[in-house]
Amino acid sequence: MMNCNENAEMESGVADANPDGPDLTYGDIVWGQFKKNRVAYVSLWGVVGLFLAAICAPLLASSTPFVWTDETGTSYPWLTTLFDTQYFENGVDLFFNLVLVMGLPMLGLWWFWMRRLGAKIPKKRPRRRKIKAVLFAGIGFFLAFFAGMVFTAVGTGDDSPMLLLRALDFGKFSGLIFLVTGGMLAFQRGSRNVLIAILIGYIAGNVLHTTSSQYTVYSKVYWQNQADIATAEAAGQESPDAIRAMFPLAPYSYRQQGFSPLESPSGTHMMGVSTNGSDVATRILYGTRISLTIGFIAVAIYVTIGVFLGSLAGYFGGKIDLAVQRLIEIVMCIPSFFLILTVIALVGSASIFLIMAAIGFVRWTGVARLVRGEFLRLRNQDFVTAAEALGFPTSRIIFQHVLPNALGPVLVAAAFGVAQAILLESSLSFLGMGDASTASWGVTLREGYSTGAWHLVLIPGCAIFLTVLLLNLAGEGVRDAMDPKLRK
Amino acid sequence: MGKYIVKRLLLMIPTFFAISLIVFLVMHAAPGQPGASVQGAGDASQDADKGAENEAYTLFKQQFNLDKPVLFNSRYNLSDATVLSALEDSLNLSGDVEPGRQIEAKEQLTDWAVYAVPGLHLALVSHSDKSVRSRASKWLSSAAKKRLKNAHTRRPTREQMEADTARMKHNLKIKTWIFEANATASAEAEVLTKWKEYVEADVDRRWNFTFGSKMSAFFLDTQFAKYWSNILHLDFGVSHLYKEDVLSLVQKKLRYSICLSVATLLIIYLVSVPLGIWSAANANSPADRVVTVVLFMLYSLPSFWVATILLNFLTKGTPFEILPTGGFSSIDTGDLTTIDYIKDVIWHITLPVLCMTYGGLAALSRYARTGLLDVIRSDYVRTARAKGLSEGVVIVKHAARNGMIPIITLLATLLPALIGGSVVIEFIFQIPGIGSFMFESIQARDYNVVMCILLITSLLTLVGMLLADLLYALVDPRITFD
Repeated sequence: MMNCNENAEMESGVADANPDGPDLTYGDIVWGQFKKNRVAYVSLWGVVGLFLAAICAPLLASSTPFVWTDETGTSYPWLTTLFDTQYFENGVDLFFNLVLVMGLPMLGLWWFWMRRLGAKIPKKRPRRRKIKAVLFAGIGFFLAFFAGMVFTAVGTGDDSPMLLLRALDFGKFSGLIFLVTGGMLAFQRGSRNVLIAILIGYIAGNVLHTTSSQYTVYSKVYWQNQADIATAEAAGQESPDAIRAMFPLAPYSYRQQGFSPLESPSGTHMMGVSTNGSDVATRILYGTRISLTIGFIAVAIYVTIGVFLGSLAGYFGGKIDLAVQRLIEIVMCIPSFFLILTVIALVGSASIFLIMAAIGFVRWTGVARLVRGEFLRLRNQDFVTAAEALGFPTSRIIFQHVLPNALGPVLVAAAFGVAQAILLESSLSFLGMGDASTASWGVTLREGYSTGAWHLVLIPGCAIFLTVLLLNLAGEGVRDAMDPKLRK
Repeated sequence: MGKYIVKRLLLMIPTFFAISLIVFLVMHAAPGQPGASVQGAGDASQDADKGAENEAYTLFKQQFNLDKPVLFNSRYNLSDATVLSALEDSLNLSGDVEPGRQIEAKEQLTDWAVYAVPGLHLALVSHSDKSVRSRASKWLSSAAKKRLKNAHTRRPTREQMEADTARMKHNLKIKTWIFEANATASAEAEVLTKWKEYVEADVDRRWNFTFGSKMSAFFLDTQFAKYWSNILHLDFGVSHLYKEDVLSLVQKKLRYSICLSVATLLIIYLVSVPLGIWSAANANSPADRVVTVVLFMLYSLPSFWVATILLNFLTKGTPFEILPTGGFSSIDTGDLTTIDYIKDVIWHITLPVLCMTYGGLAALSRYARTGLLDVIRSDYVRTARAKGLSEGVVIVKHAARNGMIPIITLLATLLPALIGGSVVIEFIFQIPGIGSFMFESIQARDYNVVMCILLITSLLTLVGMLLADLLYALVDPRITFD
């Protein structure tokens, strides 16, 4: 029955034919079940919280001040460093920063808009509208993302003309983003808002332009200045001019070193200092980005491969099935940890993208088997026969009819897979095979292992444990919610 | 059943072949020359630009078949013009050849070896520049060498040794057929005639390729084929790091790992099956809920973290020092009795086994619980209860037997994880097992060892999967393979 429901929803417009019938899709049922499981529901929000922490990391920890005032005037360096490829070397960081600057406000706007118009939208096809809105947000976001990457790539290096150029571009770029956002809003709501959007974009672009054109490395000056004041006061002399600055909660960057190594947690360093003198709290916070990125992207890679091969094998059977099964068996037999380790070690420079790719290309067998099994089960059901009888093309039958019904177990496997991938990455980093330039939790834990310092053992380990636990609990929740036997 | 086993065993052969192909390609697709970090070889590769004179580098490459193409060899198609241009580029006569190309040309001439002989001979005979002719004679004398058979096999037979002596003589003979760029015309003519005789004598047998010899060169004169022919002799090569036969090294290390794995597996199954049965029998009781939560937490605990904590807490004297920090046994076990030795080993592997056990235990007992819960709902269990059997008998005798079947198949998934997944634990507790050996070899780029471990662990997994399937049929008579 639920297959038919799901299918009807997938077939455009069929749902409208029966407006009085139960409007619950399979997804709605599962979601309802999931919400009843309080632990899983809280865990899911915990994962969302982790994402928020990852996105908002620069708000909490950054060595550049939000506001900086000295004799030359006031500036806002925090904004400029967000997209500075020398300050944030890693692409992952730049991505999350972009989400912070553009994505979160966009999400807020979208939410606000959904809420306000919630009463006005007819209940008829809320899902389609949602999909449309998300689609537009997504397209706009990625356009903006690539534009941003291009602009930030334009000017690196410390010579001033390039920096000025970059600052200029940054202003323009943010204006562009606001234009895209505004345009989307306008597309949804009506032409009146185009004007507002352009206005916002113009103002924001100009503000950012003026603030970002005064770029220097601030934190060093600030610390030097504080130190000068302290020594002057200690010596009873007149202190030099104070610099007023507003820093984030933890005024450090995760690559900043030079604090006293292995210092225990204290007021200035909430989680202590690592072996090479960087702030552990900051590293843990930024490590969230690495772990979540690795977990989700690696799983996305292997789910894609697994679903593709599994559905081919399950739907067509015969020789294709045999070939895919052999391939699965072959890849399954090679111990995956060894293989990943080998690939990463032989390529030499372990970037986190390599780690994601390695995990993704080695671990797909489980998903492929699951999907194949589901396809074998669904292949001979009536709705597939009906679709075939209607003369639908095979690709449509596979991707629109069978696949949506086969995705349940994949979702569960993916939830657990993310946890596994995060564990895998941290153990690689723990072994020293990870990306040492990142703030990965495994790297910090490795320092704890080699020095035996308690705060370096407990804190990163707890972070890994909590993340994995939350993901596993959420995954278990999804599994239970999909199990008809456990339905409440 | 017998038929099925034979079928599966036969299927293993192509599977294993494909595994070896994948592993081989992975190893060779990676940038960087194999053995680059090996001392001596590293120097040799730096000296590669010294060209044909560099015996050590050539030998090194030949020893590990690195001069051959990886998968397919089409060098029989090598045209004389290609060889000539490589020869000219390597000499940089015109002075405008890029240094990179010059080195590449030398590498090519070394690698082509025997396939370049006709081209080199043509250059020797007909090239107008005397220095090129002289260099061609030197390349010829190294390219036409016959490979020694036993150079790197472990146990050469008498016939092999004799054949090798003949080859050695041949190689020494052609080594002298060279002339310098400033040699007299008569000396040159002498060398020329010698080479002419030599090449023409063997023209059909060695330099003209028939379809058959082309095919055999195409598929067989490659790194992959040579590696496979060595594997068939159970020869996995020599470890760069230990200068020892890889297979015996791996056997040695495998002993420790298998010891750990077997202990771990035993404990996992011995604890998780009763635990699963107990919690299924008391499903949804408060005690069951507590156990579920605890096991779930255990399942999410990263083992390397637990290992690090235990290591700090129990072994380093902060605050306890009751267990050893690592190793498989004490260093000096010579004068221990067997029982004392076993005690010593147990004392040493307690922590590693603990760290390897709890994750699998948590997962497996959950599977056991769900497996039994599925069965408990079935009709025959209700019948057993209706007969008035006691709950214990119903659960243990009737339900458990069927309910435990699924967790047997899990053996197949646990096995590779246990063989491969203990790298971190072995690293932390410094156990000289296969995991830490693999890790060490990967870091040292000890290709032969890495290949061998990957292949052997894959093979073990294959066998383990077959065993799990057979076990499945054994405990569940409903399953037949015919």
